[in-house]
Amino acid sequence: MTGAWPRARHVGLLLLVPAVALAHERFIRHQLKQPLHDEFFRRYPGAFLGMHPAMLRMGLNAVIVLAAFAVVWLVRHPIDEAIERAVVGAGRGVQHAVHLLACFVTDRPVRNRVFYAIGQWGVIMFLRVPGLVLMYSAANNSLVMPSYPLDPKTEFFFKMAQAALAVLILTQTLLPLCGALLVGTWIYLNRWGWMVAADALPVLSVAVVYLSSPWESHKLTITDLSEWQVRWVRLTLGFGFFALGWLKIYNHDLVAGVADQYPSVLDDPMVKLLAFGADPSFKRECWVVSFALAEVLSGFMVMTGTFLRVWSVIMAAMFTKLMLVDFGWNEIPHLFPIGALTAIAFSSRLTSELRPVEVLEGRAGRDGKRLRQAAIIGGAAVGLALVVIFPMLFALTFTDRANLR
Amino acid sequence: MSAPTTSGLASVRIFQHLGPDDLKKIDKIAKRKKVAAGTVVFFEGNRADAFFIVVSGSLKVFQTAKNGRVKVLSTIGPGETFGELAMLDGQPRSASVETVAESEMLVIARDDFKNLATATPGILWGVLEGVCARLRAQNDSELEAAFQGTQYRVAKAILKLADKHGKKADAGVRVPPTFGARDLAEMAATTADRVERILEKLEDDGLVRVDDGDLVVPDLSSLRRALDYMGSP
Repeated sequence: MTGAWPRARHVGLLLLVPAVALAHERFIRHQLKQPLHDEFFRRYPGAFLGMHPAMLRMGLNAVIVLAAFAVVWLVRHPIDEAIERAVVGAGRGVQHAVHLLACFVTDRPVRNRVFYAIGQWGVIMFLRVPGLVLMYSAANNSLVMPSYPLDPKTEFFFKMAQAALAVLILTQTLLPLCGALLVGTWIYLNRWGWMVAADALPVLSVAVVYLSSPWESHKLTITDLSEWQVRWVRLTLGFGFFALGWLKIYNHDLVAGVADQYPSVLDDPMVKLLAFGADPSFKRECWVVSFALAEVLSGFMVMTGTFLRVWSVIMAAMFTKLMLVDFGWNEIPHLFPIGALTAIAFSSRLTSELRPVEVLEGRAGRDGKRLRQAAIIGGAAVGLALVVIFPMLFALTFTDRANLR
Repeated sequence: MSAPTTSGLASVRIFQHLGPDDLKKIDKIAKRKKVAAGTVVFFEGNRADAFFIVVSGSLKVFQTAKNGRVKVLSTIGPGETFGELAMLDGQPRSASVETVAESEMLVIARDDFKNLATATPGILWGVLEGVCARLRAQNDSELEAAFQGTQYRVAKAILKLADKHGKKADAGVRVPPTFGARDLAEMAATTADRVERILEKLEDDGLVRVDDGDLVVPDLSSLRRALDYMGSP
């Protein structure tokens, strides 16, 4: 790890060679069939917080869902113990199965041969799948993702560079250099605009692992991630989705356009839950906001390590559906987040950013101060949910989207 | 083993220094629990809310590696206690405990024990002695794992089982059938197949005998002496 960051900076600077390319949705159609109501997303005079009531309702729904998840997370141990106690007389096999399931759901180490084998496989896939994605992009004259077409002037250089990087990744050679090159490529993506770079944020999660690998990586069998690596993978990956969620509300036409073209993406129980009670006359607008908030919530859960395995499995299943059912072959790069989510879902080294709250409420519980314990849990859950959702939702109503058209 | 009366409690090592009044107090807060064979009392990583005193039966203390392999750290019999470590430091359980045979135990909740120990500090000394004994056993076990061969570790595991859970019979000391080759393998950090092969060799040497599926040690002192020769120089 020592010395990897300075090298990353040098390689990143090298990659900032001037080139012109336009990032746009080349393969995924996104034309709106009919325009959205712009005023829905903007300041709404006379309404509470100046937000459209349906937007406010969905924001509240998101706060309730997030707070509920946070509360259940903070009281997961007593719930788990009650369930495990209930099956004590049901026989050894049932007891062990329930215990393993409880460990999986509550992000505790799962000490099981099959789980361990899947985890090892997940890490192998996670570390190598960027190589496949790069090869696919090179074959499609794109950079990193098929959506970013290369400028014909620099096409040859970038195609060869991607192929070379893919070979290094697939053979697990000089992984810190691979990490530095990925970081450099991500910095380079900013030339297309900050939204393009934000779209590729999740790619940085594997760069974290590469950068923290030894230079002699080709000699090693890397089948496990350290606690530090898992933490940074979830932080970068989760933050990527969290940011992308907010970006979807900002760039609402693009998201609604995709939904217009691929109506099957509308069918999502979480999205329906978040849109519950919102004005049905703004169906498409509500879908955009609830879809975006679902991504914000899942990204936040992954980022903070709150029911990380559950969310990782849900998101991996969702990406698989997008790849196999909704969009087809052109979304094959989604193998990357699937690999990342598999690697963290099947790791037994999970940590949570809500740990300080757990320590506080645990201390209150051990001292017998039940009221104080409940106040810490409730206050932290609701406070956190409000802070995560409303400031950004409120701020977005002030933004001007004229530059997006 | 007798029912958990105050006289029964007096035979528990950590309560040996206590008077009848203190034993009565313990009798009041302790809850009796009967558990069928093959039941996990608690899993490694669970929160600690109580500690346990074994009245009858036998249990094994084990840890599970990430890949699912199990290592039995020790076995527990009547009069012994378990679960005190996590109860004292408030950390999650460091190992799992499972009943090998039907067992009866007394359960003392953490808060009750805390109040009791504050009023009767002598109990804490008893608990500390128990923790120290387990720590020493753990050190010995680690030393054995590092420097002794598999045959030594299997023979040592048989000796421990016979000492703690064996029943004297005409033909020697009979280890209860509840402890099988898999348990021996988990205690000696090896595989059940390897244990079977070592048992055959020990049987050839006359140190153990398999009788109707039970493991019988004809002469404990012979097995103990043989261990000296099995150990590396």
